[in-house]
Amino acid sequence: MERGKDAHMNPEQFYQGDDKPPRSTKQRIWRSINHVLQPHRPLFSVPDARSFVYGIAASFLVLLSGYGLYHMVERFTAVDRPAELRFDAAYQSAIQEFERVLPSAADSKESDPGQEALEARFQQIRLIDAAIKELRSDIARTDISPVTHSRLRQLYGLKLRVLLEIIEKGERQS
Amino acid sequence: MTDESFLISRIREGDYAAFRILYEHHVDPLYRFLKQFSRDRHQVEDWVQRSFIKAYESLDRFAGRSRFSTWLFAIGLNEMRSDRRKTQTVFLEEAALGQSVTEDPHEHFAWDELMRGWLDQLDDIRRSVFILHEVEGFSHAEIAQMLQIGESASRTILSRTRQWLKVKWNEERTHT
Repeated sequence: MERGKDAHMNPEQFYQGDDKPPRSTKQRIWRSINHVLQPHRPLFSVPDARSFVYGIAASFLVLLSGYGLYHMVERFTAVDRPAELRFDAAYQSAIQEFERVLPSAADSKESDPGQEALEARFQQIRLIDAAIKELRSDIARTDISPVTHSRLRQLYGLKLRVLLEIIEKGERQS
Repeated sequence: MTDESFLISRIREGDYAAFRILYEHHVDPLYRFLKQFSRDRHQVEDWVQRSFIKAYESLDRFAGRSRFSTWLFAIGLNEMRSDRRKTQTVFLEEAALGQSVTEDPHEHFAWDELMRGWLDQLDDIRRSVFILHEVEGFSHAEIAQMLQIGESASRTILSRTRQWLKVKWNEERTHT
């Protein structure tokens, strides 16, 4: 409140410390005023309830749209997947199948004389894996040239052959 | 348009938050002023509460020609006096007579704690005029509007209250 220009005495000098209402008192007075001026205010007033219903409906629509969009994109990407990726997937699937039977073939004859040769094959596979990993990361970053994809397929083929040799060797020895 | 006029126009348009701002702005001066008329904290809170409720409910009648604080204090004084009228009779011969008294601008004296006690001996009108003018700084025109007395009556009351306080003060000094 702006003080009038006619004041002769400093209010701080006149009023005592307890003349000023503490924060809690002011809040209590305000609550009482509110109680009188805004009585029986429901938890959800009519505009609030309307907003709530609209919000729920909008959320449901967004959810449905998102679900539809996701499946549409998934279908398109499955159909239009490049040939390179399909080859890649096919090779990886075959390799996984070979690797699944590999431990039994490799572990069966740990003390055989052919163990050194087997170890050399495993070392070969580790090197091929490292090369595949490097090429795949290149493709993921920037390199999508056909030469790189061709090189990757060669490495997959090589790995498959080595795996097949290990399995055959294991079967012969057992 | 001042900030306060803007707030008042917002309240009239239904902006309740603007009323909260106005409340925060005026609650301290009104409370401390009304507290000079009662030692009962709850009664003072009740006066303040009723003043703001009445101000809100009759805001359409506030023409804006005076300050909002003048209008609010007038409501507060009415609330306080209507309660106190039930317990005491206030008779003001000076106010009724409306005698004009020339103020002496140099008629000042040191304020101290004793005077506060002497003010308590005065009736509501005298005490109101003194505090509203000397402490809160309202003009006689504003005080006249608040108390619904003539402007000259306000001047007379203030002058006589000062004289009375001065006499008390001089008596006190001679005793000590």
